[in-house]
Amino acid sequence: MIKYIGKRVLSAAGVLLVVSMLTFFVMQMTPGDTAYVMLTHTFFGTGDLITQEDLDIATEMYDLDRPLTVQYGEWMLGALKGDLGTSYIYKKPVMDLLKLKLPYTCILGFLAFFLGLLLAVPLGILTAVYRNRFLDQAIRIGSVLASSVPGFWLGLILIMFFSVKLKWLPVSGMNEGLKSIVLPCVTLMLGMMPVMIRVTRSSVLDVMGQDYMLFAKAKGQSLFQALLHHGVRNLLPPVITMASLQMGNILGGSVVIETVFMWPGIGNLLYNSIMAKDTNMLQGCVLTIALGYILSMICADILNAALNPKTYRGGGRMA
Amino acid sequence: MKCRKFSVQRNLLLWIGGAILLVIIFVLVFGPSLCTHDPLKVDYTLKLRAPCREYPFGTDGMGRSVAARVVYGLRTSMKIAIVVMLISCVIGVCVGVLSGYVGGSVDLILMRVMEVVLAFPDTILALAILGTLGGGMKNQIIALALVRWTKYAKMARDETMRLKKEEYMEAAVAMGNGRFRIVLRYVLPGIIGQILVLATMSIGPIILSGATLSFLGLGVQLPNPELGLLINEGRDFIRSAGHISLFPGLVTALTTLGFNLFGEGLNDYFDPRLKEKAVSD
Repeated sequence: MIKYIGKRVLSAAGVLLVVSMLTFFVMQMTPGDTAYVMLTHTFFGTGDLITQEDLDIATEMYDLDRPLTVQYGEWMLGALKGDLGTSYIYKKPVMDLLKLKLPYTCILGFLAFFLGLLLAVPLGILTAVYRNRFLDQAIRIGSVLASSVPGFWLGLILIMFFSVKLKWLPVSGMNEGLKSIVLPCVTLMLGMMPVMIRVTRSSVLDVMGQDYMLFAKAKGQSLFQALLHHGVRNLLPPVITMASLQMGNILGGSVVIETVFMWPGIGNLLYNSIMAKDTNMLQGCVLTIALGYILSMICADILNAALNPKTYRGGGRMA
Repeated sequence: MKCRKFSVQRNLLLWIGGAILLVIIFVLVFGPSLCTHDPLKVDYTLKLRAPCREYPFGTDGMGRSVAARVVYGLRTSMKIAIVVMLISCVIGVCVGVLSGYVGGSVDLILMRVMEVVLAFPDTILALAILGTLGGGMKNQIIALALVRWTKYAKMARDETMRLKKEEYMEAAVAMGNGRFRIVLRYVLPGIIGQILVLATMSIGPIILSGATLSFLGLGVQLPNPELGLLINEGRDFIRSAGHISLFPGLVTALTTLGFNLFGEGLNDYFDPRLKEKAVSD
């Protein structure tokens, strides 16, 4: 088991390394000179006033004229020490900004993730147990509808209804504590629940068709008892895997939702850094999010391995 | 009895989805000739009108007919979705079939590439690409296609590997067919059904992610209408004129719903495993 975890973490570290390279080199290919972009934000605010001399000074100051591979090496060494460079627009270390914003995204993301799971998994089990009956149909139609609605639009509609019309909840920001987290959280949850319900449903159906469930029934256990005693271990792995993938959806969705609700998290930071062409900042945000996503996938694999030793005894599987 | 009930329901999804799609196609084809208003004509005397007979979806902050803009926006969104679907499908199927059929180190390398792409959440990867390339419709299409190809690649690879084990494949090799010919004549026809189902099912999500990127201002640029962009335009008026965001969003949701239902119906129809399950229920 420990060997399996070690292997899994190592391969993830490899992926993360390639991810960081890719992010770095792609970001440096941004059309427009980095020095120019930096100067427009840092010193002048407009592009017309910049002279060639200024560009040269900036290039020298930030060592922008050296080969990209050297720049990457230095950046990587810095990154390992927790230094991701300086944000051009905020003029602060990227790391500090990330540390400042990450908690907000985590609060929102985890709350939406776990509340979503808490609702979606039981609903999925219900749809499977009452398959093809009214409840199943209603939940399925609801989830198809929910998966067809654009999240950002849903957010706006919720704001219009609950904040503008009923005035129950704040429009945006996070000054009203618990009240202000309700709408972004609900929007994110609705984005992930349809898939989770569907996976749970098909996984439970799968398990219910197995012989051991029939045996459990023959022993005199009720369906729920049997599911609890014998089913859980077998129906959870697909659900866990999908949940880890949905973490990606939540992370990606947070960019949009945080923008709609002005939530001061990493998504919002990423969006602002794209708009301002703040390469260092963007790089830091993308890497942080990729790291979070990879971590959630590792957690899912380890959980699955713990539930089902076959996973790590008999050959690995793809990340 | 249960089996029959299931089959009616299965057709129902296909029918509802198909009906919605027919309406969408009608609007796509005939919408522009039915519109009496220019989607780009600015007239401040007409601004922020509530929905009425003349302007069924009202007017926006610059007095343009929201209905006309939605009709043209739908066209743009659909164009993007279909182009992205085609590009990602071709890339994904090529990579998947190559990886699955050739196997060995080719498979290993291609799968590692995929692993790296999959290490980013979809939206984040698209945003990072757009952040680098800059906004605009062309880059939006590139970004979306670069994100979506993995879905096809995964499916095509698995299916190719499954087909490779079939007996008729052995026969085809024994008959002296070349690799290319085998792929063309025996592998592709075997997976085309699933590709079509996946392609249909992927249009809904592509419309949504395309709209998301435009909503963030990184896709299609103003003043051209696109569904996500139209929703964004209404953001400033959520207190005074909610209809500006409401209707483009409804149309986006309806279009996506049509494709999702239709794809779902197709999937139920083609997936033999589900049929077995329905019988065993």
